[in-house]
Amino acid sequence: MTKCLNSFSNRMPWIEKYRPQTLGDLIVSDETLTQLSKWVEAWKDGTPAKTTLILHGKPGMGKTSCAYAIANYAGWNVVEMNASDQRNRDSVRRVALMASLYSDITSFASPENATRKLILVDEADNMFESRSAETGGDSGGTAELARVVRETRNPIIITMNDFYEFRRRGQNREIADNAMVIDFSPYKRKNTNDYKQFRLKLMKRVRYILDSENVSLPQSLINEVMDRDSMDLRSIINDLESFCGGSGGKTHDFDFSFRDETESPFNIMISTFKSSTYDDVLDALMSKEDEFSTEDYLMWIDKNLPDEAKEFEDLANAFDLVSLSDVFIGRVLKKQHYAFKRYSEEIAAGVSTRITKRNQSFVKYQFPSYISAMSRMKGTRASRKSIATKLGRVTHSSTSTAMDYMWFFSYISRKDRRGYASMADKLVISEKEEDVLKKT
Amino acid sequence: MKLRISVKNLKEIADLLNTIVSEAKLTLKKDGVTIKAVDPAHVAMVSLEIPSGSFEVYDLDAEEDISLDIERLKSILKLASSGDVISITKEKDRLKFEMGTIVKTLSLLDNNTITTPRVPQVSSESYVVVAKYELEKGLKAAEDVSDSIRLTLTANDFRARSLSDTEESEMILSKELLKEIRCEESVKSSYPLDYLLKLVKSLSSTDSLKLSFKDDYPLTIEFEFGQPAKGSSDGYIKGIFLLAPRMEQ
Repeated sequence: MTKCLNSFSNRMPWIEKYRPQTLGDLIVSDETLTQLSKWVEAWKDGTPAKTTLILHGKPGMGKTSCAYAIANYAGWNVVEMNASDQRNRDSVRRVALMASLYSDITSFASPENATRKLILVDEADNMFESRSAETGGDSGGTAELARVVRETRNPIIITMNDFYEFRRRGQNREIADNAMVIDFSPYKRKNTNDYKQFRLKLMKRVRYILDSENVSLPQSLINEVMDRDSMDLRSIINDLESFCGGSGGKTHDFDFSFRDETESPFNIMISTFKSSTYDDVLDALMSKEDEFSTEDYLMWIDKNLPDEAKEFEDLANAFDLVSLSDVFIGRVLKKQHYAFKRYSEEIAAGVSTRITKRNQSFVKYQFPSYISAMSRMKGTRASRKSIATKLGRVTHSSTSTAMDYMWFFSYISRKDRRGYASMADKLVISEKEEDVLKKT
Repeated sequence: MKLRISVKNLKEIADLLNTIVSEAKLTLKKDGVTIKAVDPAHVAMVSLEIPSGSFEVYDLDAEEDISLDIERLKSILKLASSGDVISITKEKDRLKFEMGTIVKTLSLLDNNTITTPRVPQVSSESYVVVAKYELEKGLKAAEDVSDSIRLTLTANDFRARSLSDTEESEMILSKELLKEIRCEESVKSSYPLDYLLKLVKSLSSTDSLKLSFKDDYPLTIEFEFGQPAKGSSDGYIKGIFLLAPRMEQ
């Protein structure tokens, strides 16, 4: 097991403790950094043309942290409207509009008088989701925000996940036109220069955090965490912290994505392979998390079995059992007799009985690569489905049929550019959907 | 802890706080209660000093902070009749309100979730003391014209003016109509009308307000309100309300 030394000095979670303080701490490309500092500088001599900064990108990339780092760097106070606040016309007017037109009363308390304040509209995606009065969704909120952006005398930062979706709604195009837009995805594709640069900066930051905490982790492990959490800085830092026993001071198990009190998949793997009796395995399975389904269980076994069964014959026998279990799962799903899943699970639980020569040494159980691959592709899959639905509608076929013929539509889109343009217009194809179509 | 205060006083305090915040932290000290709050947009700030003389009974076990949901407090006060006196006691993390035949409890909020602002030391040589009803008239006239109101103070008069593309509203109070005025060089600055109006409306027992400001500088409004409890002479509540100036383009 990896041993980490813990610093007990500060119990703040790392993600808070190492929130970037200045622009230099941000893990962004040099180009983005230049853009950000230009925007901040522009505020030094009056109100610039682009009053607003839109930061968009996946969650966990540091958009909010960036806003606070900018405020810290420029010496601005922050007035925040976050997702938990009500986001209707009235509240936008009361908070954002007021803040945008008047100076900051609290700033008069400090000697360097009357500095600007930064208005942070965080997670603006949610602002436009619901129209019900109850949840305080959009009822004139976006129109009011457009007014704020038009009239403000103070800098505004709006963060959101999906800029293209945002721009399509109501008066948001006006907001977008008045804003400097920065894409917070650090790279488009793996193994490009951007990607390498990003990883390098990230590694530097991770090293800095680990050094400050006076802990050491093997490089291979850091790489593994970075790979699994792909681009999500928040998850990477949280995972590394939980790895080092966090601020609580106890060492956790190797456990990436499930952090619950119940038996983690990792522990279930230990029970499955290391228990002396079959009943012990069943006991462990009783206390597994609800989200950890039989299918997940099979995938975990599938991934880790080769490390446990070193003899070819054992491996073959064990996989026979797993495949038998898989056959039953298939039938259960097909007939929708979900109560019978339990039997399939119990068949698979006997996998270690097929191994004659158990691996006595420590095995580092791994997260099934299939699951992480699927979760990485989640966004792509959603876009794939939505474009298939759109195509299905015009070709009079079902979504799944359109999905089967995606190669064909993709071919057309590449070969017949004019035809594609008119089709894209008619179907209102978003950028993400276009990406999916082109890459198929 | 045991406090007794008239419904009128408590209601006025709650109404005033509610003009800018929905939750507030009260600091209970030996000689009275202080409250400081800032609105979410950092435009308005209020600071209150409620002397123990405003309370019929002011009996503390220890000095402490308590945080309240002001809107919930207001709805409890609606249950009381205006002549009542309320008894307030603390039971663990709750406040118990007894008024006439009704007993209500209110959960306290976590003190750490409510920030107490530092009240800036702003001062200006120029000030005016104006009757509340005069100011209220001028503010109401401007209400449907614009979001902001421009205050101008000269040696001879005090003006409040609002302007939109199509309409205009102005109140002119000459020296004779003012209780006090002090201004050597004329000053002007714009402030959020909405907050001013809400403040004036919430102060039911105040007669006059002292307004001091200068060019592009916060507006300080000083006032007294409430009724001293029986047998107390210095039981008036002192309030300071600060408003940030509008930033000129």
